Amino acid sequence: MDLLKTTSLSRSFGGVAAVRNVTLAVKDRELLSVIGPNGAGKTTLLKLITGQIPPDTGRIELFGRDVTAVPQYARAQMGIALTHQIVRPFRGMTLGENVTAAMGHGHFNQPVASLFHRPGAADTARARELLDLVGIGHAAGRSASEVPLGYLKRMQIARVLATDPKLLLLDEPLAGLNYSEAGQIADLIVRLNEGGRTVVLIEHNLGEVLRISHRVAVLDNGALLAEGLPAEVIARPDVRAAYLGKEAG
Amino acid sequence: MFHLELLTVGLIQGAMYAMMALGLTLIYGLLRILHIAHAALFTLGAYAGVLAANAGLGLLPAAIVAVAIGGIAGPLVYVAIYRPLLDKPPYVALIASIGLLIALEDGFRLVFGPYGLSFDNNPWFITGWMIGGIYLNAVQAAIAVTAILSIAAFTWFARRTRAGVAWRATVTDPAMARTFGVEPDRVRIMSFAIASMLAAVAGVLIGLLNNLVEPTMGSIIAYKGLAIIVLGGLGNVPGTLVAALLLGVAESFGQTYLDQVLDRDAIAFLVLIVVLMVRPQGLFGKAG
Amino acid sequence: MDAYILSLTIFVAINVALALSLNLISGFCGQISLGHAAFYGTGAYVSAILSVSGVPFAVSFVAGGIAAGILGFLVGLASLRVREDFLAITTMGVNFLFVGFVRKQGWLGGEIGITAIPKPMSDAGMATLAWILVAATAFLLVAIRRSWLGTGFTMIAQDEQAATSLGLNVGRFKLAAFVMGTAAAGMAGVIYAHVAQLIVPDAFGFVVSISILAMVVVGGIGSIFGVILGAVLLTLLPELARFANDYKLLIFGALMVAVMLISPGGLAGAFQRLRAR
Repeated sequence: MDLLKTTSLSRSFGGVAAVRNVTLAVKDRELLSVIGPNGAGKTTLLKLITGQIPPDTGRIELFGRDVTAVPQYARAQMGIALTHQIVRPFRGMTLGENVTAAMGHGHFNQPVASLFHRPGAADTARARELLDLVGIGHAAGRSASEVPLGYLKRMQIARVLATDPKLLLLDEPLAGLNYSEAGQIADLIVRLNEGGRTVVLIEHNLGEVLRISHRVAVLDNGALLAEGLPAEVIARPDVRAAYLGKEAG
Repeated sequence: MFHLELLTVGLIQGAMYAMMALGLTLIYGLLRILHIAHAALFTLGAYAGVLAANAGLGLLPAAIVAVAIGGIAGPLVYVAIYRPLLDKPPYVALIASIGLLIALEDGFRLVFGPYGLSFDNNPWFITGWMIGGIYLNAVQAAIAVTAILSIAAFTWFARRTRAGVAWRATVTDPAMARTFGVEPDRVRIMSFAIASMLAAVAGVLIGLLNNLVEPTMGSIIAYKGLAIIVLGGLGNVPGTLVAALLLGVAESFGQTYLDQVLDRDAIAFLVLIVVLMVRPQGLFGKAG
Repeated sequence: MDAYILSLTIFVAINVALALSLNLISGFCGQISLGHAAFYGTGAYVSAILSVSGVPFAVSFVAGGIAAGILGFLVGLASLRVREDFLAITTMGVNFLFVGFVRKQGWLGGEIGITAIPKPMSDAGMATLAWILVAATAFLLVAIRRSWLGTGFTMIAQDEQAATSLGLNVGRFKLAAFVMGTAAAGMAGVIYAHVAQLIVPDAFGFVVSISILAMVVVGGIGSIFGVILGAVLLTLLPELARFANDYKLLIFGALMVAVMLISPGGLAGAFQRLRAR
């Protein structure tokens, strides 16, 4: 079954097409990477999928249901989660509180009912487990406004895991991490995927992408240039031209 | 003819709003601060003007004194209040600005008395002409002329002078401007000086128009000024000028036709709220 | 108790309730409102009109709260369209619009306002009611702070987009904050109208909104205890020192500037820093 499917999705900003006519399907339990040069439209594609911005034309289906008109929060409640490329911690909270806050996802649709439920020790403990899972459990008590970027990148993964999503959308989770940190997070992504979560990964770290992805899709100038097995896609001359040519220039 | 008169009065009022709102939008464009205390500089200018005039200076020298005082006081406000707050969340500067306005207004009341001051000698107030069947007094004419001249001067400054180019560069990208040798802080000080001089002129002119300078004469204008720059699409200079003129005209007609239902001073906010609900980015703001 | 002291305790209670209710909207949920007095005034005017026409006080009281809550719901809808600076200006506009509208309505008494509002009980009774309102509002805020509702508000205040992407229904949560906060302000207005027995449009003007905001920020925006302290201090200050009454706005304004410059967390923030040392 396709967990996520976009059909002829397009979106432009001020006359410039950021995403054009993208038809892409993601299967249940798949680990798909979307790659492409800077400005290829990868982040816009993710924003369209999460519902942060509406498409000009096209359709988005999640779990077999048309969600093109469903607002962002409601899509998140259906079980898709996004980690932001530019980190968005709750800066007035500690890392632990950031993750604990997301543990309330079952109450996020009903403000009145949510008044009668409160975060408990179980939520804090689970948040701590998730921070341990991403390797920063020791920093749970540190303020999100004073830890290094790598910590915030990891915290964001722990925070979305707290909402127990079926589909993880990761926007450059390895950017800004050093070599060994990137490897650890890539391994974590594989473990999460093997644990039953579908993953769509946007990433510039081609080494890790080729190592962990089941399938790769290449965006160029907003359009889907190629998709397939990692080794096959990256060997195609048009992909090399588009991707490497722009990277070099 | 009656409608033409309403239009003229509205445009003159709008020209006055434009002089105030231009400064507000300059500062918003540069610092993302809603500079409510701008009105205190308007009132300060008016007091400086009336005191200087009553001390025996002519009206023109008195206006120059007022502008000079505004040009000094504005940068002081920036240095003392806003500069230390630049890295704080936006509401911090907003609240400080509101606090500064009400403190200064109360200060004016304590120093100069609650009933206001009038010009001992206000020849412009009693001089007037019939033009095309509409009576204009010299103060109204002066407001129109001053507004056009100061906005033209500002446009020339922004487009044709080195300092103006530095200002525009700082609005667009402060970090980039610095690499070209533009010091953002100096640009900000300069902007506060220009904005406050405009406010001071407007204050003197309104003092002459009403022949009265009182402690709270600036507050309503400050709040309307904010409505105008929001309508104009925060930080958008041409949009702000158009919004100011539109509001002046809307008020002048509204005062005639809506007087039974709504206070004149509430019209600005009625327009503001209606526009924002339809176009959250303002009349002339860019979407998104 | 001395009648003066008694009426003073009522006004302290009204201001504490107003400051706490604004704190819910602006402190907890991060939606800066510069028009809180409009909701306070809505409660006062609706209940006054009803009471003058013979409706029992209990009904006026509830109706005042509901009317303010409905206006709060509408302004809350605006907060879904416009954010931050735009919202601050919009709420300010709501306040001017409220006063500008009421002033011109003959049936609301115009400039002169509504007089001879019947007093439903003794001053001691009204004082008790006012402090019950304070206790209920404070209790509600404590309950919110500890609940998932409070977590949701904090998330919105700190990063609306991050909150949405985690599945928070930001719109509904904001509306909840506006409705609860404005309804409480409306009830404070009901008590004010029935204690003063006379209301005029200017009692609910922008300066009043700013005074309430001053209490919140001087006490410490977001803090429950701090805001109570701020409201009590700023209400009593002009009363305790006669000289201060003449300089009330000067002092309020200067305090707002000083607190923002020295300790944006207000008194509560300053205490916290002292304790951390």
